[in-house]
Amino acid sequence: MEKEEKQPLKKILLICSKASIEDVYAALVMGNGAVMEGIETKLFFTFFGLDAITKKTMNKLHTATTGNPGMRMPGGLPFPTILGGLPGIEAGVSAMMRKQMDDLDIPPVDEFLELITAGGGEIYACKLAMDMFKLTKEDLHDEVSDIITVGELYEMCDGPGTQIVFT
Amino acid sequence: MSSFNNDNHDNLITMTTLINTNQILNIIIMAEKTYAGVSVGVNEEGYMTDASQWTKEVGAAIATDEGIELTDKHYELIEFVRTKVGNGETLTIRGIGKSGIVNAKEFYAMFPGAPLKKATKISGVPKPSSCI
Repeated sequence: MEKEEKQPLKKILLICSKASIEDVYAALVMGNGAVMEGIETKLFFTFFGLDAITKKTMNKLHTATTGNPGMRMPGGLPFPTILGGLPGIEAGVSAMMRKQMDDLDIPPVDEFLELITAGGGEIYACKLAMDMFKLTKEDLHDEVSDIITVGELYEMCDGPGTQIVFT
Repeated sequence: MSSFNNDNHDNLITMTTLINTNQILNIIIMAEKTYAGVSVGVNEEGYMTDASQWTKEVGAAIATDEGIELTDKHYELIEFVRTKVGNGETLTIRGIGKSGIVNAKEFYAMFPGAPLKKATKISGVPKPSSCI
């Protein structure tokens, strides 16, 4: 019987296009996890995902309290959507979520980016989205390697054992 | 109340069975490996099964297998890792970066590739179960 040889993942590209805490952290945790395993890792932030690498917004990300069926009250009771629309609720819930993550030793976004680049991971911003939101390189965190086009992004994804994940 | 007690009893039996199965499994998969003239128990991934069998020489021999030559800084970090794991704390790269011994970047450079896995293997402690 022929033994199937394992083909380990060698390179991963994670694309983050949304600004909510859960979307950004999904990309960051997966990216950092890949770096920890010695996998070549690139993170690409586009559209609202740019909030995660913009100095002004990166550590103030929110989670949606309206239109989020997964939202629960502390204790597990359902969270009425109408409540989520009240002023200050989203900010409060988001602050609570960030606090809970901090308790689990999950770093804030800027520190997470630094951890990823410390291990050799690379962070990129989407050129088109940057133009759209009128952002410049100065608005972005220092750990961002470059602002690139879609074409340049695909050039980076060469070689066997490469995967692209859109979070 | 009596049914509650019964439930507890059942749980206890299940738990004992589980422990026994685990012990049997351990005996089956446990292997011995000789490092620096000392025979130590290792699991199928090469992690030592008994941290107390670890000596500096054993650590150095595992490190050689991993392609790493240990320096004083490595030993300082190994000490930190062994103490942390011994205290039952979760090991994270962030935590090591804040240990005051090295920062995260230096840690990656000292144990190239998968630093947390390599550092724990060389330190003779179980493979870390941390996601961050």
